[in-house]
Amino acid sequence: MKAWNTWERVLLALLVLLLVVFGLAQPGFMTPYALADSTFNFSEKGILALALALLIVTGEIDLSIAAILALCSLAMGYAMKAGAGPLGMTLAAFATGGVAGAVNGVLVTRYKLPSIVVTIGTLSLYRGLAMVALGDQAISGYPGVFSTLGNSYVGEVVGVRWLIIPIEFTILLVAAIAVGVTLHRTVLGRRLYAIGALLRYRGGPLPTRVVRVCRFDGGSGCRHADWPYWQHSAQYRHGLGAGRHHHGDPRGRRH
Amino acid sequence: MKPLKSIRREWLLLAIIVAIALAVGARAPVFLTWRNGLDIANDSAILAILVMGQMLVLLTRGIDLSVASNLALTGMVCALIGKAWPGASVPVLLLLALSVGALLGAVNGWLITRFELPPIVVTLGTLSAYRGAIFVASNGAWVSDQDIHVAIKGLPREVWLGLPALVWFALVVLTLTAVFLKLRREGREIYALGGNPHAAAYVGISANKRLMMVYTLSGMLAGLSGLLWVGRYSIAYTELAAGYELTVVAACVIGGVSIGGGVGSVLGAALGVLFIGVVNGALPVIQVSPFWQQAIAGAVILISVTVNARAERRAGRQILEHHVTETKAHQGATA
Repeated sequence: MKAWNTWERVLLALLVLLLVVFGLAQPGFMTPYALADSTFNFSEKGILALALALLIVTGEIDLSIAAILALCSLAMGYAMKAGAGPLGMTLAAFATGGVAGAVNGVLVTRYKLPSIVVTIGTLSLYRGLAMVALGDQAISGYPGVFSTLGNSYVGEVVGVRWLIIPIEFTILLVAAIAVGVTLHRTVLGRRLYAIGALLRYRGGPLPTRVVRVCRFDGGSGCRHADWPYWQHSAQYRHGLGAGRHHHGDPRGRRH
Repeated sequence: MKPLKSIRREWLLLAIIVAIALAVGARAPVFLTWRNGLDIANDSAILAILVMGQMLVLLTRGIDLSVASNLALTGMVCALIGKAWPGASVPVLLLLALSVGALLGAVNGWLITRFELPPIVVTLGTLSAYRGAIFVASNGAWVSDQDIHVAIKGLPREVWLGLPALVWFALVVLTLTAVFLKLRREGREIYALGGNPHAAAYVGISANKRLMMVYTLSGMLAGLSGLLWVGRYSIAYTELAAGYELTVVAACVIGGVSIGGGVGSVLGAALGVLFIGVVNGALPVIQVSPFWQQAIAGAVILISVTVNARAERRAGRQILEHHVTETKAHQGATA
């Protein structure tokens, strides 16, 4: 699989077309501020999509990704209640995402179960656990650093006024480069494609490699993504991230 | 050997359901009353209808994620037409729901067979598209109680021969599906197609015809469910039954329908529905927080799919020993 294929070119052309059409039709659309702010709509989803891409190239799927996100957010809330600082809260989210993803991975590889069924099950389980833990309550009052992470621009933090790239979008770019390099320039990445290609002939998953991906997916993807989700609302509800894999964004902060 | 295995698994599931019912009944005798049984049956009826459609699709190694959106769109179409046309009768509305649903299902089937796309991708797409179409049709507005046609509201509240109409609908669909799968050639071909597509092609089974058929039937049953759902809850809106497709797939999996195709029975799937119905009915009775429902459903899916996978492996479905050759090849590579 090449990184720069026909479909990628078509997508880029469509994106440019959209920008041009809307830029002409809607004055003020092509201004730097409007463009920068529009990235708030998709940055978190983009990070989740990167994580899912790693799984999908191997021929697997993770439907539980939004439920894991909710669970990670919950872990952050409990870590805060237990007196952890921003760093501790972040670690709690990383650990929760890692464990939740590893459970998926073990079920798919060790027990050779179809990932779609496993993750339907864990989707229900993880979201259910978040509901059980929290009921109809909400945890709020998070440290300001998360809010900054989700709502501010790089320029504000480093003190350069004109640098209006949102921090969230920067995280997405870094994550995209990391995933891109992993998939196209490392042995691990090429093997992931090989698993996906092999699957078509063999009709069954190859164990060890997939479990690693699932871990990476749960651990890396979700834990990155749950930050920005957080800072948007700066409070957690269990409905957060509900059905994020196929629905629009119900938050409406910047819509 | 194989029928024996599947029968045993279904009895096991039935035994678990009975055990849960008895255990809950011991704590709260109200749970074991006829009235409560009817309530659970009534609540499970729509799920049972959807599960029959989903099972047909799963048997062919496919999946239909668009059922809940189809249900909501058909429900909305019926509600809007009922609102605009007060003279509509029950048979006309039923026919309308069945045909709108079947049409939406046929679109899935057409995309899957014509362009050879994976069912999961196609139905994920139509899941969004149909949901969006509801918004377009209704302008995002709710059709609420007073605007729902009397016939639509009345249908699920009818009682025939002591059983609610919804239960009759479910029983008819279950019976027809069982007859279709057991006695009709098309039904046997669906099993053949899911069990081994290559062999099915060699004996002259047209995969495209059968796929078209199962997606249309799945859509048709989703359409019927849409009419019943809107009537039962007296409301139609854009987010109606959102996410319900996962419950449908879960019921199938709990009932022993293999996601890998070719394995599953009407009885098993019906028991899967009953299991979800009993658990959902039991939790409030024994005063467990309803928040636990989802977590328990998830755990049950994981357990049942693990058990099913074990049973299948023991039955020795794999003829060629992949594992041995693989380890040999591996040793060869390392040596």
